Amino acid sequence: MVSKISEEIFTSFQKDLLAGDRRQCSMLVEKLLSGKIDVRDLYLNLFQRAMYNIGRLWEYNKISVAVEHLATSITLQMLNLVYPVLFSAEKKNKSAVIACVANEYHQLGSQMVSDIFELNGWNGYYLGSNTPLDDLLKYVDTKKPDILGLSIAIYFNMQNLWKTVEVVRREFPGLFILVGGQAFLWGGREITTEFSDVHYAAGFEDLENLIRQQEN
Amino acid sequence: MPVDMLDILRKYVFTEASLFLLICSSNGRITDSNPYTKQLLGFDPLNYKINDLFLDFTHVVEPRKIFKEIPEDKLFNIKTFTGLPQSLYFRFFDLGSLFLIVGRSDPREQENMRKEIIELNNNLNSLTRQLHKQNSELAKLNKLKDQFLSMAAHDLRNPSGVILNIAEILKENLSAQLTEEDAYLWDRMQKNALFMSQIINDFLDVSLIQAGQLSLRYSSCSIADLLRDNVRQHQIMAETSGLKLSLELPPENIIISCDISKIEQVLNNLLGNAIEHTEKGGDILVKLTADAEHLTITVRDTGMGISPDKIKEIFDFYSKDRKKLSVKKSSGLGLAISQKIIAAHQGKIWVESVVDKGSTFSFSIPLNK
Ligand code: B12
Repeated sequence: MVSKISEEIFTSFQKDLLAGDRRQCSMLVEKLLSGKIDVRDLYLNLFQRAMYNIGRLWEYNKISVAVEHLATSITLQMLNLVYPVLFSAEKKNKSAVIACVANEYHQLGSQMVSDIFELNGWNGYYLGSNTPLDDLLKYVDTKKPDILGLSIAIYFNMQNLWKTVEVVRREFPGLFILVGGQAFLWGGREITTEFSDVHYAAGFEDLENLIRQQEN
Repeated sequence: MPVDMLDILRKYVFTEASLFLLICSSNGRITDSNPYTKQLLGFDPLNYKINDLFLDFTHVVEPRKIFKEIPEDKLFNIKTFTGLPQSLYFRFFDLGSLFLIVGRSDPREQENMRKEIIELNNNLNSLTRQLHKQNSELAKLNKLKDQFLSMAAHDLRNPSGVILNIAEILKENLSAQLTEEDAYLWDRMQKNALFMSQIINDFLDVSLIQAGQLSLRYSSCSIADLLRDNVRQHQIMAETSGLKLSLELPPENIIISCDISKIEQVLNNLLGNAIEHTEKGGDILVKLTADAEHLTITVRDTGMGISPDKIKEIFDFYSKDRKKLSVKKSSGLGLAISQKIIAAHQGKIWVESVVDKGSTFSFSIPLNK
């Protein structure tokens, strides 16, 4: 896939994001959408790249948390611009429920993952960040999804994830559980061998391969 | 503490720290403040009175009353540059001829608030997403419902036509044998079958309109002839109801291009409604006028009228009162269908009405079509 995000577009979005200029950011995203940009391209090469960069700037103390908060909030809102097209497409009879485990506040990545399901014709139901285990179990019980996706960005939430997977495995023995998120860069992948039918996907490519496998 | 460290701290506290600092004379005039205070207020408070900054003191006329030593944290509200008030924990120090006022925020409150904002923001985004998702699911269901309605109406149209035809043939063949009572029942059966087929046709129209497939077959016609025919057709019905139905035409003959059967459908609807809703002894006037660009047809009755709150949604498909406002034996969709037909002719339809005096329905369509 050739990216439609040039260096120039990226720099200008990043600049507006750091300045907290939501209007300017929306205009740029609207323009890209009307140019029929692939949603994956938009998500990875603009949003994710900008947020990873902002994480670095914050880590190196170049920007304050306030600037980071504003940038995250704006980027989250940019996803809304994609929804009218994303949801109106025809859907298969397949569904996934996606959530962040309890105490996990990093929302952007998992919300994007739910959208990738939609993009593949699945119903991608998104529960949000910091989802209490009880709520998750109830929702899975009513929606009866084909896949449950759990997201985790910070490593110290790994225990929460293990606990969640353990309970879900017990309550819904046959359910396909998908885990992902940045925390796995620090370890924890044994979870896929520790429990049956728990799978890990690193990025969109892995994810879409798994989705295709699950359709057959 | 070594003296020079104290010196540094003193300087730092006054120039850099996130502390709200004011120095006032004993009459309440501000004589000095630090940069943090100026930023938070959005202006330099020099020479202002402290009543101007503290929301809690706006009614205090005698500053001496405020200026007591406050040795422990006390909450007061100040104005800020955002226009929203902010609560800070204050202490007042009496220095004889001067007062030192120090305010600070509680870091726990601030951090809790920040966490709450992040959580709220996340929730807002997941909820917005859910809303979009559900909206599209509802739109798909709605489409399915439209398709179902259209299929049902389509499938019912032929059998209902067959029933009507056979009933007519049998009536002719059997008319000699039927008793008066049988003939009456036969008549009611035919009327109801006709009513049913009209409802089916309305449903079909609605489903075509909803699918954006209402297409017009234009041909040219004399609008006066069309009106004469239509009024004549309704004359018997009007007379049976004890109504006077009249037609007023301009001297010139106007030829327009329109879908004749669709315009007839609109006229049938307006006249049918007028006859239904006008009491015995009333008048119904159909009138044609034209200017250089438009022709306008009005149907005026002296009936019960429509109340203003119902008028707003009278041309809506989903109007709650559509049943009450239309002919008893109909789907109640007539006005909504008429509105779409007129809109398809690039025209408009409207109503003026006074309760207990009557209603005037009008529509106009452009002449150069
Ligand atoms: C924004 C941000 C925050 C915001 C989040 C706000 C919000 N509403 O989302 C706030 C301020 C809350 C925050 C807080 C913290 N953060 Co933070 N944060 C970030 C930042 C800058 C960006 C995150 C982001 O949006 N990334 C962009 C998205 C698109 O990428 P992603 O999450 O990786 O998702 C992709 C993949 O991972 C994958 N994926 C994600 N989920 C899933 C799920 C499935 C099923 C699958 C298949 C795939 C998948 O798909 C996505 C698309 O490719 C990152 C920096 C970074 N490198 O990401 C740090 C970062 C994630 N934060 C970090 C830390 C340490 C914290 C705090 C602990 C800080 C602290 N000391 O207080 C707290 C913890 C709060 C909590 N309990 O959750 C570290 C995590 C290190 C670690 N692994 O332990 C990071 C990496 C920064 C760093 N380098 O130090 N943070």
